[in-house]
Amino acid sequence: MDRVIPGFCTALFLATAGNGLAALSSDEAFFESKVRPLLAQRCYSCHSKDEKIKGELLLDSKNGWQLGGTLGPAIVPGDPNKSYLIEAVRYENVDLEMPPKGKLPDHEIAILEEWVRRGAYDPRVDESVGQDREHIDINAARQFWSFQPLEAETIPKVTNPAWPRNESDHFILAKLEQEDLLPTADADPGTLLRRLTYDLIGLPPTSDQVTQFTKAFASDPDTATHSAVDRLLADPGFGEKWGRHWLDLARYADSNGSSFNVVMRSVWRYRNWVIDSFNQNRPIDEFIRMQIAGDLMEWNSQTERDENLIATAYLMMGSKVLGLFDKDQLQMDVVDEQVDLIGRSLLGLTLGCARCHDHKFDPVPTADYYALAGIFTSTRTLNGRIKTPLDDESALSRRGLGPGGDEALQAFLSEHRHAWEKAEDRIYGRSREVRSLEQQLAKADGDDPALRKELEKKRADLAKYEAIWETFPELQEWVLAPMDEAEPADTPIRVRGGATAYGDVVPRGFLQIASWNGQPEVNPEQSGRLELAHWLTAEENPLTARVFVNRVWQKLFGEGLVRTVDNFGVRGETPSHPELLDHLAYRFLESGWDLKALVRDLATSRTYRLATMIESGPTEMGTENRLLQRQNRRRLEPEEIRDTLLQLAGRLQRETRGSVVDHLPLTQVNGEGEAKAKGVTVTDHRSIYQPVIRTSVMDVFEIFDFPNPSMPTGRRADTTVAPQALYLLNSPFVQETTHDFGERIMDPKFGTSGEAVLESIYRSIISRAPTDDEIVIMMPYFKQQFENADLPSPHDRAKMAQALIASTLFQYLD
Amino acid sequence: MRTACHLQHHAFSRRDMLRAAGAGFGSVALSGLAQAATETPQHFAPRAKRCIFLFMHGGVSQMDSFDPKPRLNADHGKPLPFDLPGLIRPDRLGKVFGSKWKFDRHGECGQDVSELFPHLAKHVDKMSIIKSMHTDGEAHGQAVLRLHTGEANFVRPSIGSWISYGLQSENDSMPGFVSIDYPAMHGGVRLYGNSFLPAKHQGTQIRLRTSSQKVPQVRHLESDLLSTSRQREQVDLIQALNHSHLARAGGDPQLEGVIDSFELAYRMQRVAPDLMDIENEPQHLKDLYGVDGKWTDGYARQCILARRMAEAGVRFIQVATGYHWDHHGNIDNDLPKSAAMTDQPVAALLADLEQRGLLDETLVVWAGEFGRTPVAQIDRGNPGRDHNPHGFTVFLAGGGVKGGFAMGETDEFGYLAVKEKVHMHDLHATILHLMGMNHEQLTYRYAGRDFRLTDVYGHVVNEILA
Repeated sequence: MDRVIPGFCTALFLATAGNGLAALSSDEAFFESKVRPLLAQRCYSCHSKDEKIKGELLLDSKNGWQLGGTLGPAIVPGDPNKSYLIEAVRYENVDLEMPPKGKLPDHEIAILEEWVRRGAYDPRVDESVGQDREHIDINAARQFWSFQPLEAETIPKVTNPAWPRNESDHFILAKLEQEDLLPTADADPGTLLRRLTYDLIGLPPTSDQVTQFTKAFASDPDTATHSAVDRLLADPGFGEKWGRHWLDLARYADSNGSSFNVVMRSVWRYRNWVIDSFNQNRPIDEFIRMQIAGDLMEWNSQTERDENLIATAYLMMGSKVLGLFDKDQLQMDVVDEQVDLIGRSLLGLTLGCARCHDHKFDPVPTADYYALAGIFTSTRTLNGRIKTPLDDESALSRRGLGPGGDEALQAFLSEHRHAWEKAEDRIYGRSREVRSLEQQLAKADGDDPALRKELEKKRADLAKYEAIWETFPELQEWVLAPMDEAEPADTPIRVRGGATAYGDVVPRGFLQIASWNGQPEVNPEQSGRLELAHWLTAEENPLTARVFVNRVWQKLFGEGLVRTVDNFGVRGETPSHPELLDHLAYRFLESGWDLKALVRDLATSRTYRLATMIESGPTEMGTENRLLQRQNRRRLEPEEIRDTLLQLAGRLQRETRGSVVDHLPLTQVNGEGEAKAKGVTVTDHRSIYQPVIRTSVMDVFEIFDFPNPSMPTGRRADTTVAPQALYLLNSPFVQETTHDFGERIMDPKFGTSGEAVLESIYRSIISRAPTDDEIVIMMPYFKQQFENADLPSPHDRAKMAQALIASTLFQYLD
Repeated sequence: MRTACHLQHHAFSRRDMLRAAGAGFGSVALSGLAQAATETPQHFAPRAKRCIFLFMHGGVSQMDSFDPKPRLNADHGKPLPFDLPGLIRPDRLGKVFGSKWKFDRHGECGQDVSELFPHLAKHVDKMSIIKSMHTDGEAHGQAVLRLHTGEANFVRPSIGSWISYGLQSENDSMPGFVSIDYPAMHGGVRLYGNSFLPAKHQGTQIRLRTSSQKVPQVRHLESDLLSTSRQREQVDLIQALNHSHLARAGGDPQLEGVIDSFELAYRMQRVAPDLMDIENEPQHLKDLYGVDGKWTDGYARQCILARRMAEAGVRFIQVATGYHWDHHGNIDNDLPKSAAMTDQPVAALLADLEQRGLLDETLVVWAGEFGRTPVAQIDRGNPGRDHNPHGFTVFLAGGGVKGGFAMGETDEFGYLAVKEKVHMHDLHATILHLMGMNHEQLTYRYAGRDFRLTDVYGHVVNEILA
């Protein structure tokens, strides 16, 4: 579309310039008569200072092509075949075709080739080219707060020493006092216990728990709070709630998503390992190391070995374009996803930016990216050569569990893979057909010989494949897990991110910006993941602990001390309380990365216990509450909404759940309709145990901001949109569960008058009695609409419950 | 090759465009944080207020529809004189495969259209046809994701979400972006997902062809238990609780947001059922679109619904056909069916919009995710054509595009786009441009970086601008 210089203009230019050509040397004459006009006509519109500078390449001066753009120097004088300018105009590389709108005529390509072959004579000198190019100065960049070493902080003095309950409170209060502000009042005990219970286990407290807590709180608030927190930390719900926070970051899912949405049958083991790890209070450094390099770690028992392998599924679950034909591209995309995952979830850096060019904002040169990438090109995530798109997860590396698991799994797969897949597929398909035919036959009046014949045929086929299935040896349990490549190696920079555009080879290693003397060094015999794991969790690493404790803070206080929880780089936000963040991170290291201790400390703090409202006195400017003069109001997450409704209905199953997709065929699964048809059953287990099919998550998840399961997410979106209102008003799930709840509370102990029943409903759903205002709002409406005005019917009770659930009183934690 | 009847195109270069944009809006960076909810960040006067995006799912054969290649028929059964680079499975491809269908010149512009599309042929004077499209991704999943989000490897907002984000809805009772009968496969929710853009820009799903009663359905829109008036009373009660909570809290934007969301939900409940009541359309219009027709019924209803949404001010309406264009085998029998399912409904949509005076301000885009091969695919019994992302045809009509215009060329076999090539990113840049937005300036700050629909690519296809 850039037809800028009409043909006659060029002709005019040549005619004018032609007069003096005889006086020039032949290279000069060739350049002036043929090359310069061609460059001006064909290239300047995108590659000159006067117009645009695409790909950072200038072709309006010799210095421009010498320095080159993002691909490096554009011309190697004398060697057309090594000059990417020539490669581009020849249209040899589909990723690099210039001009983009159409190939040049052959005679023009020949002119450029001739010019380069003759040494690319070029009188157009412009010494200013490249002076504005920035180079990353690592040492200067170390001054940035998040790259500074962690040090012990002094606990600040406060004017009112009676207020703080722990060290964090000192930091918060000191800052408030500096601004002449006072913290607001403490929350009332019912509000506090509701907040604590949701925050720690993702469920509401029972009415009895509220009553007992309120009583204990009246005599000794500190002891009451401590024992409530201890009780909740010991509840298996703690791992289910906090495990889910980690699964957000690990972009956990049971299917690949993307174009080939194959089922990932075994990753539920990872999900349960995460839950168990939090419940057992596995030190977080170990928790991280196992996920990066569990397969390379030493072990003392088979259980430990299996857990080590299961943890590494973290590296495996990225959504991959399995249909990609270009294997090099696919591998580099997989590596990129892994590097980016580690950057975002553990380091708070957007490393993916450095795949194609030095990071624009953060001190991460492309070389650092490929130092890390080399670790993952030396790691097998994809299983061997991918010839054609595969219809199941066998494109991914699988490791057998149990003694001799790898060997047993590989033996099984090499012998039986195809027969196994076919048998699974047929058994699955025929079972459905048989069921459907049986139903049709039952509906048909009398007998239907054709149907019956068809049914017999399908039954026979089903029996045949079941018999084949019986002949297989027992299938080894497995998990998606990587292994080191046989020949680990450093990898070259990929110029401009092109999978096969090789630049200089970079030794495997870590980020220069977070390096120190004596840091781990990559073992050349291995991929380097083990050393990466140790580098990430070393006490010298300035980022990992800071990023982690900030995430914990964010889950308990609504916002992180650094609100950009996944970005601690230059484009991220600086901490509101830098000393507090460093203090917490330092103490966290001292404690041996003890998560429960950290949560206990923060959840029993005075700051955590504050009310969300400020009754009187001066308030912080603006509405952001960065100084934490009060607690932040928080929206319930979709898991909490769903699990609470199931609990109210008396349906919630608290057992853990294993596989959710084992009964599916090994092939693709797409979308809710198909997933349902294929039997991805949603049960009454807690939400964390429900299948996550990447192309289609449950309604309630999708509507209430469940994170996209293909992207690592540290802080979920927090939206208020109309589909949420419609869901709470009209979805079958809300209607069914409130109906069941209405039936459940018919016992006289829930009240024998409208007002008393309303109070029971309030206590069950939001852990407090209605205010006078709320009684005035609710009762006239229901008195008018009740089926039974004196003693509400189950249906009446369901309607009262639904109104409360749809309101902000239920949806938010005050 | 430009067709002869439209020689006097405007010499409006890219630089002029940038200069014009610079004069008014300079370096407006549309940060999502800075942007007020009501602000519409248009960079220059829009040519179209809304867009109807007709998605031909599976990939239409260009050489059997709008891009005739006599050489194919001349060489039918002979080997192709060059390799087919960049295809998934060259091993299952055979010899050059001629088109079974006759092409005639149509309209004042004399554009070639195959006999499979007799209705669309009558409207070529409304269209800009691009015969030199190309994209990345040899498999459906990648190409469909690229067509809708510009990207396959990473999760990105869909084009409708970008447009809703950029322009907001024209109608405060309706969302800015609706997605009619989109498939769960090939990306599923990502095809109408907002990704990191604010959630209200996600496409609202409507099921019609794929709903059991062939009646448009929005999830949870209507109560099974309560009449409209009873639901209003219920909403009033909930809102009273919300307001009392808000008053006690001393104000809170989150709680206010919930209150607003209930009001919008209620307005949608009031407005959307009428809007979606396509049975109310006069019979002659139903007949024009082909409602109740053997092949046409499904897409006819979808296209009528799309027109009604456009009239109501929805900014981006995407309408998927069934996944039936993927003619790997038996193309002789199956392509005529796919054509029949869409030809009359799409033609009727153009005629109907024009008759209502809406075509000038409504951009209609007709596109599949890729095209098909010039050689036969031979592993499915009767031959068909395999996927081909390297050259295919799309057309645009209405708001701001030339009528009776065609541009671009594939090679003489119809395999590679060779002249005036237009990439998928260019198509996206052009759609945004026609709606008044500069694709390089419509950005959103996420994870420390400004993202765009076109990433670092894309040129506006100035040739087709009216």
